Amino acid sequence: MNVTQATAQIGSSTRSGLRSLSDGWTITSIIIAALVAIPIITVIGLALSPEENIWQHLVSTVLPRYVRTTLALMIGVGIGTLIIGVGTAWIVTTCKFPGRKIFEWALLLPLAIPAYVIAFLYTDVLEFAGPIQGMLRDMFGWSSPRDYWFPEIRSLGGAIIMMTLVLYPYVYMLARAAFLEQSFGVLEVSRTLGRGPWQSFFSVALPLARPAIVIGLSLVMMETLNDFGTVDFFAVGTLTLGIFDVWMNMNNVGGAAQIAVLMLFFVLLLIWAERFARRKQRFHHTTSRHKSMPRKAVSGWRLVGVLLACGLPLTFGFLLPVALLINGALGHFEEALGGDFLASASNSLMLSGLAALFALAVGVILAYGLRLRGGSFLTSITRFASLGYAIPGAVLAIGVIIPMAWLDNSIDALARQEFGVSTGLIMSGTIFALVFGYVVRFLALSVGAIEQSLGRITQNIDGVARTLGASPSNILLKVHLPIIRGSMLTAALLVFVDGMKELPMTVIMRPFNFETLATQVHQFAAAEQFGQAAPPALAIVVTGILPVILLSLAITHSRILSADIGEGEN
Amino acid sequence: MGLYLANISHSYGDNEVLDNVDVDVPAGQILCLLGPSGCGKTTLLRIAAGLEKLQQGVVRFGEKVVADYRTQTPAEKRGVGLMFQDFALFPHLNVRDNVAFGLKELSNTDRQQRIDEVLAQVNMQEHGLDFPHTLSGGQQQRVALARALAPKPAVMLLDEPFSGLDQNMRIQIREETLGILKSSGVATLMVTHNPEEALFMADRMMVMGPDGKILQEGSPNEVYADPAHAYVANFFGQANSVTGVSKDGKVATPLGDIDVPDCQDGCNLEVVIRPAAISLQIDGEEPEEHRGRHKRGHHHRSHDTEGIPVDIISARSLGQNTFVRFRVSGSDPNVPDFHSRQRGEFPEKPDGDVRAHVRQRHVFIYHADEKI
Repeated sequence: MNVTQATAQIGSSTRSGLRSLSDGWTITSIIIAALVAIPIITVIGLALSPEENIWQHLVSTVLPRYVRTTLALMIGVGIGTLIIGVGTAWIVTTCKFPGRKIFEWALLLPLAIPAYVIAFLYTDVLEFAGPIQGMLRDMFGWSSPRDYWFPEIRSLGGAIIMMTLVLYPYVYMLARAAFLEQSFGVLEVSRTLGRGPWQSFFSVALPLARPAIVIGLSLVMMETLNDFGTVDFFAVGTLTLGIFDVWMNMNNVGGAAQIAVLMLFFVLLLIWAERFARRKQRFHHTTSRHKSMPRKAVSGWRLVGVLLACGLPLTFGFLLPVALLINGALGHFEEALGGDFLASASNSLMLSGLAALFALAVGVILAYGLRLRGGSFLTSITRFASLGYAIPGAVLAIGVIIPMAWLDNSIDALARQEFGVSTGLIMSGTIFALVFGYVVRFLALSVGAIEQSLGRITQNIDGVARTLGASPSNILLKVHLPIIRGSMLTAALLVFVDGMKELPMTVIMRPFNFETLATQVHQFAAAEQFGQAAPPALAIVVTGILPVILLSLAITHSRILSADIGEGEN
Repeated sequence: MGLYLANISHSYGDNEVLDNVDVDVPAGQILCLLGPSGCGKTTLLRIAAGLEKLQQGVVRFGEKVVADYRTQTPAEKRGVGLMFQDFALFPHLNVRDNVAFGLKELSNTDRQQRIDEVLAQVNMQEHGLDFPHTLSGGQQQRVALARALAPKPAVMLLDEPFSGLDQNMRIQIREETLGILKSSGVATLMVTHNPEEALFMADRMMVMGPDGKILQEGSPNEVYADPAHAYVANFFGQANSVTGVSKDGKVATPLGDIDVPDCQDGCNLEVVIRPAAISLQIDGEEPEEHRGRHKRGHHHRSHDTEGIPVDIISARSLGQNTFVRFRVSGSDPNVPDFHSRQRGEFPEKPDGDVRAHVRQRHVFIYHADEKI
């Protein structure tokens, strides 16, 4: 049979095209990505079309102070986390000392404690009525604050210290990974070329790790911008606090949105820094021949220094706060088992659980959509939809509330016009809105994790599965999901834990009288009922430890894990 | 049921990787598509499988059109067997489940029976419950073959199926695979960049150029012995390639004049001399091969009864052969080095002068890339 005959026989072939199958996925991905992108687009839209311009007023009153304070906070936390993070990372990768293996993962632990928890704990200890000042007064016979000077913890400096203590692990984690990946060869070369160990650190190791450190720092900055609990409690007037102030106290959503827009500018700078660093990072993996650094034993006063350098951040960032929390929680054991705690705990579990499930589902759909058909449009819209992690919760809340209110009003108007009934607010101020906000904010965690592990599966697997009769959806269910289920669990857990800690969005968007563990901590702390704040705070910290354990396992075993998957394909 | 691809063209953006390609593979035949990395050969395979959208042309399985400009049967409905260089076994499934993946239409007993059958065929019965990462490369290749053959596809598509294996394993697996494919009677299209593999496996072979055009089609012997283009001639091993201008029915090369009777004067010619075409004779020794190989037929004839004096640059043993690099004595610096393959050993520093003789059988002459 020749070609002309063949062309005449078109009728006999199956009609469902290759295109329509992957197009179904593409369209689904685009719709979902677009939905998730709505809040982000809304905030940007507000920036471009200010309806209610109080800009002049803001600039002439509070805005310069907000900006100054925010910058000071970011710079302070940046410097603090840089020194602690890079220093401890360098010590645990290059020195040999007793307890090093424990410090290696334990230094990550402060990540489990939200800044607003550590803030109220230290306030409790260090304020005028607290035990430290009380002890000093007893010892020296002082009676009033006028008799002596003591640093005020509820200040910008205090906020910087609090945030540094719990955020340095981001820098530590990335710097440590970068130092581990560096081949010892380059350091040896530097030494043979006449540079001493300190010079080698500054001229070789640090520049090589710089992209990773910049990524860590930008994550720290994003968290700093996002923080509401600490700055509210310490009354440090940052932009985030400004949003709350203008919105809640001045009842001016437009003004809040305009501050949010200003924050977006900071965020864009951070995103740019992060992306730029990630791009640069690629060029730094030059050699595949890897020789890990031999660790140098330290002793004497150096050992003391090393132990202090690693021990202090761990003690003040984790051990002491947890001890204080447990102590506080024990003192309020009764309340801990009371109805309020259980109700807010179950609210937190439900919210975070739902957010984790949705974020996982959306993450799988988007990541698989990208795998099926890359395309620059789908890629950009997915990247855009994942920007939520960089946008402060308070800003994102505005982006969620405004379109939801519009939708509610439209539905209400339509219902009244067509059926003569008012539907009221269907979505605004509901759990649904809050879960949606969480998903938008934490989507990057799940998309990232799933994309990464899908990326490790060769496209040939899909090809073979297709020719063996499996449709794209079948392949996802029968091949990909079973292979990546570990990463899916990690992704869901990360979202879950971040949901448990989330404060600014929850405060703004929660339904009336709806309390989560985080809002409870915030309220008790604001009312200076530190004992009552302890049980919910402890609950948050305990869940927060789970992903830290996962992270430290992942770091220690990353080579083993990837080797395991790689083997399966060769 | 055979595999027929007609008028296939394909491009990625402005980059055309397939240019009007026709491929006919009747049932029971193995066709090897030989081409350099990055030519469109894998794309052609993916188009046949339904993994790449057809842009132009027709794909037929037997009488049935599976893809043309109007409609394209998705890969999962075509019933082809596919095998990749990396084998692409499902890492989360054991060997039996890997093989069972394409057998979901069968009843459970039939399925188990079929799994036993194909595993026996590839001699992997004992590894049914093993997981892919515990298998050696050769074993993984066998499982991939069994998995592809299990649903009894009419068409098998192999993408560099032996490149993932080490040298010794490759020769053994190649032979086993050939036997299995032959006995199952499928139409097989295999793409490879390895000429030796193509020569070994193919009933017929096609050579694709870097621009996605088919340069030559024929039996392995035809293609090897009578390459239609300089590119094809060069593809089989490191050939020596020199250019020259025809004059009086001859073209002058550093290794002597070569007859080109059918050519006018003044043609720019490319002369491709395979390493095996050059025999080197050390003064006072008899060139053992040069004798008895005088069946020159219509092949081009050089006038080097004396041989051309050459200087040896290096001689590296390859076991059965020696790879010798040399220069024509006293030649201009612009004249390239030549290389040749000498049977057996050859000294790097021979005791006497060395002369090169060109055996006509492996010399090919092209005018504007057309064979003369």
